[in-house]
Amino acid sequence: MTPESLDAELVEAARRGSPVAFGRLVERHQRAVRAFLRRACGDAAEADDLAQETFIAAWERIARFRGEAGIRTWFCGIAWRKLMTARRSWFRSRKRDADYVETEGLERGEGAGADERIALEQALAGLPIDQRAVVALCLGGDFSHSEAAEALGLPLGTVKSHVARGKARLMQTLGVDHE
Amino acid sequence: MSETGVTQADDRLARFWREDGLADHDGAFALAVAHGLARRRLRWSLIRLGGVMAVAAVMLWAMTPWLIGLAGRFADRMALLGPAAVVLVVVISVLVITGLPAALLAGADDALGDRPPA
Repeated sequence: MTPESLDAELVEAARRGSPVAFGRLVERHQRAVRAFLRRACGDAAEADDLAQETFIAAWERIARFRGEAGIRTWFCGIAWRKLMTARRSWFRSRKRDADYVETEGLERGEGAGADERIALEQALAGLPIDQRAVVALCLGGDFSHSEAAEALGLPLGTVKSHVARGKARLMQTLGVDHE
Repeated sequence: MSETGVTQADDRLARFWREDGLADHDGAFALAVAHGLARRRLRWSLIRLGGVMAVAAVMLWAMTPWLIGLAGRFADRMALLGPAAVVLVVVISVLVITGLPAALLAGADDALGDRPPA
């Protein structure tokens, strides 16, 4: 059974009200959603809170999932909207890009390559939020450009240019002039 | 920058993305989501129950004069039911305490051959 057909089967079961099937969907896609949110918002704890809210909202709306995009894309779309809503509220927006390196860098900033990791995280934090989200999905999460466009509700051309600019910025951090 | 340099940078970037500190399977996170879903369901159940109770209370309040009239009309006949109910309760209590219904049921099982051989 392919991962896509397993997902489709689990989605159907979840639509019929199976919490077990939905739990398996959460297990299968939690990493993608959390990694996307961590990179996009820069705060691991806030990202995990948002990921939980994302899956709870997804359970409530699973009947509305049409299956045009993959379930992972749909989850990330909800996560993106949750993130945007959270950023608009004042108490969450106080912790943002400035904390990015502090939280992420301190948690995993030891050993070889730690400086490079911090530099890359700083470069990522320096990108505008939608560019950072596109980079997190396409470069960090193996999303195709069209999947990222679908998840984030952005035009395909914008996604492509965000990927190119974001990658150039990260490569510049690694000492490469990326054209 | 040479092509090798670009490839090396690509590899370093790929490693950066891989090392996100997250596990493929995270039971604690899945449990937290399940807990959140259960909390949400409980909250909705309580809200629905509260709504039903509020509607029932309003209906009862609106029907109070009618119910009082109805009770008044049946009060005499209801008075006769009191002693009969007491007798019924006493008989049922005696049957339950003596275990007579259970013995009768066991006898029926024996007659049907349900009891295993000794």
